[in-house]
Amino acid sequence: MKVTDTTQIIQLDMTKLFRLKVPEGKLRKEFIEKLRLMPEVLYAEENGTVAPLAVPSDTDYGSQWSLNNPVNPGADIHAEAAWDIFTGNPNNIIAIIDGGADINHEDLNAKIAEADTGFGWDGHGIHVAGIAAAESNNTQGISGVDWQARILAKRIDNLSDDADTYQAIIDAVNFSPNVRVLNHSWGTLFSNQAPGRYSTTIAQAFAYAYKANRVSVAAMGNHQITHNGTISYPAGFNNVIAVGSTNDEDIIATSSVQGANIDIAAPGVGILSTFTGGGYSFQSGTSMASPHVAGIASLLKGYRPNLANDDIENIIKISADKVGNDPYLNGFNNVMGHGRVNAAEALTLLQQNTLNQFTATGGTVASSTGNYSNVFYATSGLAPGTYIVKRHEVTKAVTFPSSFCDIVGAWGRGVGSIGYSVASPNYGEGFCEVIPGTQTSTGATLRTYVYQMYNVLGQSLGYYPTTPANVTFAYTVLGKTNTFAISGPDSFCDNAANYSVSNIPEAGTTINWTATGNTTFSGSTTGNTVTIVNNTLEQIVLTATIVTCGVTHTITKNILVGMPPVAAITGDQFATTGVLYGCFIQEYPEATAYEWFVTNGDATVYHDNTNWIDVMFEHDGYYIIQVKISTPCGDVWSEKLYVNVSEENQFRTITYSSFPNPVDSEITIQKIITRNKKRIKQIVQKNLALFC
Amino acid sequence: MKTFTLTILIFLQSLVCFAQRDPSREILIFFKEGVTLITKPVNGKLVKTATIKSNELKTKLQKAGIEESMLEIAMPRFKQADT
Repeated sequence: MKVTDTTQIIQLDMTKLFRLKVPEGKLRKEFIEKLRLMPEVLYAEENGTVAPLAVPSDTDYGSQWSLNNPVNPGADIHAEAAWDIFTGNPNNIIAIIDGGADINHEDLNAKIAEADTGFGWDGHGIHVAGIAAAESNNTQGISGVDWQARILAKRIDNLSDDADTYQAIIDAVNFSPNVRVLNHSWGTLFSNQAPGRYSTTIAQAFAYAYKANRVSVAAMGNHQITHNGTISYPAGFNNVIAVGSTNDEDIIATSSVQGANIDIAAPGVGILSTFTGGGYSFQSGTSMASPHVAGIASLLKGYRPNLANDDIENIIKISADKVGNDPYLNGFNNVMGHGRVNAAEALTLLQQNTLNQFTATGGTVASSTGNYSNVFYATSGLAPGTYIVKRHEVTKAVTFPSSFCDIVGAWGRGVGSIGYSVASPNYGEGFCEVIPGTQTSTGATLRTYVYQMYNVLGQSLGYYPTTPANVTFAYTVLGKTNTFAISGPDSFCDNAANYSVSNIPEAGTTINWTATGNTTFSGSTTGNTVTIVNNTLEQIVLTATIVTCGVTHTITKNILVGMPPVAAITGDQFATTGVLYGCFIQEYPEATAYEWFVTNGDATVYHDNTNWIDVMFEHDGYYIIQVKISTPCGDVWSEKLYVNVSEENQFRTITYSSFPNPVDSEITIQKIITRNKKRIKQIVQKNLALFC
Repeated sequence: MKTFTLTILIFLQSLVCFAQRDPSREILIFFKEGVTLITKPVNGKLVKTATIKSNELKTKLQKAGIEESMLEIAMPRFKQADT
C-alpha cells in the first residue's frame, strides 16, 4: 500500500505471481483451463511480450505538419497557439514506456530525467520521446509538444514478459511524483504475433498508475485492416486515453484501429521526430499519435497542477475538433473518438474558465442487480477473489455553486471517489460519472456503484467499498463563474451618472436596478445600463438584481453623491525658519489635482502637486497654508493652516510627564511645551481611569 | 586477457539465459493461497523460490501435470511497499 497524492493505493501482492513453463508438446490453453478451476488460483493467463505500434513510412510530408500544418491549415494540434498560452512546466516528467531513448541525441539529451541504458525497437522510443518533449525553441532539430517537460525513458523492448512489463510501469510511476503522464506506444501480442492479448498482470500496473493520479496514454494500434474490430491493449484497458491516428487532412489513417474504446485522435502519419544516430526521421502509426496527446496532457498538468487525471482526459476530449468524414453522436464516433486533439483550445478552456473540484458524500440506491459473480483484486479489507455480489447503482443530485454559469463541462473523478465501476475484474479504482443527459446549467446527477458481497455460503460480507450512505462522489465543474461588478464612478457631483453591470455571462440575463436616498432614475430601471440622478450631498447604495442561468444575484455599489467636505490640513502649527517643513491633506474622492498656496511671507516650495507639500519658510512670522483641490465637480478649498515660524522654534521641545508614579487607579498626564527653556504652554489632562 | 575471457563468458551465459525464456510457452498464475515463498541457497547465493505449501494444491497441480519445479517467481523484484 503506497501513499501517493494522499491516496492509499491497494494493489495485489505480486510476489504470489508465478511463471509456469509449459512442457514441449503441451498447449497453454489446456493448463489454463485446469488452473482456472482451482480455487487457490486467482487468475491464470498466457504470458507474452509487447511490440511497438509504428508502421514504416517513406512519405515525405515536409517538416512537422502535426504541430502547424501549412498545406491544410488547422489540420494539426494547434501547437503554436497553445505555446502562446503555455510552453510547459520543467517539473513535469513524461514517462516514455518504450524502447529507450538516445541520451546523446542533440534534441533530447537536455530533456532526459533518466533513461534505461541503450535503446531497441529500431529507435521507436527515440522517435516517440521527441514528439512528446524534444528540446524546443533551440534553433536545431524539431520541437516537442511540451517544450519544458523532461523525459523518463523506460525500456520494455528488452524485457522478457508481462511480469517485467508490470514492474517497469510500476517503477516509472514510482520514479517521481512528477511523472504526471505515461505514454504507451505499444501493444500486447499473442504468440502468433496477432494483436489484442488482454493481460491481467499488465492491466494491474495501469490501475496502479490511475490510482496514483497519473495520466496513461496509449496507441490504438495499426491493425484496422488486418484485424478489424480487435481491441489492442493497453489501449483497451479502463482509464487509459486511447489514441487513433490522423493524417494531414484530418482524416483517420486507414491502419488506425477503430472501435468503441477510442477516446481521441491525433496526427500520426508522416511525423518527423528524433531518431537513431542523432538524426531525424519520418514515422507513421498510432505510436506517433499517442505522444502528441501525452505532450498535451503534460502541458495541461503543467498549466494547472491541481488537475486530476480525469480532468485532463475530459478537457482533452471536450476541446477536440470534430473533424473527419464520420458523424458524431453526442460528440463521439468510433473512428475519431471525441475528435482530433486541439492543444490551444484545451489550454484556452482552462485559461478562460474556472475549474472547481468538488466532493459530495452519501447517495441513494437508484437500482440494484440480482446476485452474480464478480472478481475483485484490490479492495481494502477484502481478500482477492471471486464473490457473489449484488451491485447497487448509487446516485446523488448535486447543485453547482450559484457563481457558476455557462458550464463547459462536468464530469466525475475516480481518484477521490469512494465507489466502484461495473468492471470485472475490479482493480480497486474509484469511479464517479455524471449520468449522461442529467447535466444542466445548475447541476447534475452523479453515479457510482457499491457491491453487497456474499461468501459461498450466502452469508453477507457487507458493502464494498462502502455503504450507499457513505460513498464519496468526486466531480469537477468547468465553466465561467459570475464575477459581476457595477461599473461607474464612485462619486458624482450634483446631477447624474451612468452605471452598468460588467461581465454579463450570457444572453437572456435580466437586471433590475434600485437605489437608496433621494436618487431617481432617468429612463429605465432595467437593462445593462442605467442613469441615476441625485442632487443631494449623501452616500447612496445602488443595487443591481441579476437573474442569469436561473439564479438570482444581488450586487451593490456605494456611491458618494455631491461634494463631500474637505478634511483639515494635518501639520504642526510650529515651524523653524530655514528648516524643511511638511504637511498633508487626506486624499479627496475623485480629485484630479492639488494646488498648494503658502502666503504671508517668502517661502521655497519643494513639492506641492499631490496631497502633501514640502516647504521652507524664509523668515519668522505666521504663515498661511491652503490647498485647492480640483475635481470633476469643480474646485474645493481646504481650511487654512496657520504656522508659527521662528528661528527659536528650533529650541522648542515637547515633553510629557505623569503622576503619581507608580500609578494606582488614576493618572495625570502633562504635555509641556518649552522654548528657550521658558514654559510657554501647558496642557493638562486629569483623572484618566485605568483599566488594566 | 582475463577480462576478455570473462566478458565472453558473461555474454555466452546471457545468451543461454535468454535462450531459456520463451514467454509464448509460459503461463502467468496468481495463487491467492496454497503457495509460499522461501529463501534457499542456490549456487552459493540466497534466492527466493516458490514452494507449494498445501498438499491439496500440490496434488491438484500434479494431476494437471504441473510439478513444483516448473514454477518460478515472476516478479522477484516486487515489493508490496513500492505499490
